[in-house]
Amino acid sequence: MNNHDSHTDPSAAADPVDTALSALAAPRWSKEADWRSFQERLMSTRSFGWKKLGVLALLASGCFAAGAASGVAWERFTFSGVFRGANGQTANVQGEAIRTGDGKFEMRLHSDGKADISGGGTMDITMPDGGKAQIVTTPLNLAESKEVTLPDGRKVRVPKDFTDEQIKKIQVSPKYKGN
Amino acid sequence: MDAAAASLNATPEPTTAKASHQSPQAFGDVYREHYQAIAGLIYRRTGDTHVTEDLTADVFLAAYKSMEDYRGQVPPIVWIRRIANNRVNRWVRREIGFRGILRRLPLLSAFVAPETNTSEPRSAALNALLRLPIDQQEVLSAHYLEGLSLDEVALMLAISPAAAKSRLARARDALRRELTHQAKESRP
Repeated sequence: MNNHDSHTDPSAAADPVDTALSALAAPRWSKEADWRSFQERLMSTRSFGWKKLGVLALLASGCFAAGAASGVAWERFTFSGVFRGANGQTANVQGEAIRTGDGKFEMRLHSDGKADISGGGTMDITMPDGGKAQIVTTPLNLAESKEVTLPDGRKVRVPKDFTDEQIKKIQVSPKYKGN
Repeated sequence: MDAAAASLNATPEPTTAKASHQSPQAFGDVYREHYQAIAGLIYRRTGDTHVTEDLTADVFLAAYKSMEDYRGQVPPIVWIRRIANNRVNRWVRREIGFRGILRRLPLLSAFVAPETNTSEPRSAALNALLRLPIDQQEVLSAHYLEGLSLDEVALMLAISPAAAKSRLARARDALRRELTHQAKESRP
């Protein structure tokens, strides 16, 4: 480190400036870093990029949504919460978010169907550790979507550029199969 | 002196910082590594536990948000110290400015709490420090309170080492005048 000649020299010890500076330098911060607590604060203030989240696709069945988020804290987490649609209706939701790489998340969302989640709205969710976040979803653009029929007979609407692989992921999601 | 201060001269770690932006978990490593140094810096300049906790959180929040802009020109600790300095400076301007305005208003001056207990050496010193111009507070804090060398101070303040040295000398003189003035005021 450095040498502070002016205030390490014993002959200068009586200098009031050095005395004052020594007194100011004395206090130590004793609290430990609490990353968990800080992380929760970030999440609760929506500072982890939740605002950036736009749901890429809300399937017309009202049962599933696949989305992407950037900067979310966990690699994988489940959540539950309440969706408030643009028309004022609400629905209970639960889902799972999984990091897919490139800082993006894919979200699978199950709604109890009491609100049209394809119309966009806000979703207040609770994380497994109690943290809160609000996700703003954008309405599904019908012009940019296509309807596909899943093997179990359900007809769902997905973004036009959804690949077969992405559609397959919806089909194989065991947690929500049958909804 | 915080041990973390010793890492200031470490080799820049742009990849770490960039990774931190991509992964909040990686930012957790940055947070844990530098928390003590940053909180200590803020505490020594503000002397207030609650202000320190709030400002420290603000500093890391700002660092996280602007991680995208960090290009690794300086080590992460220097970059975070700059953010911390800016936050503390802003707090000092607001705090000292507000007190000053109230003291100049005759009807309100009686209700303004004393800045510090000037009979206690550290409080008196802090009182004097906070009355100095911000740039002088910064340089004194960095060199004497945080234990940074003149080269490190220059790097953190983005000035030349020669400028850091002369600013430090001016700051010491100003602090001496302020302490003298304060001593005269406190005499019965």
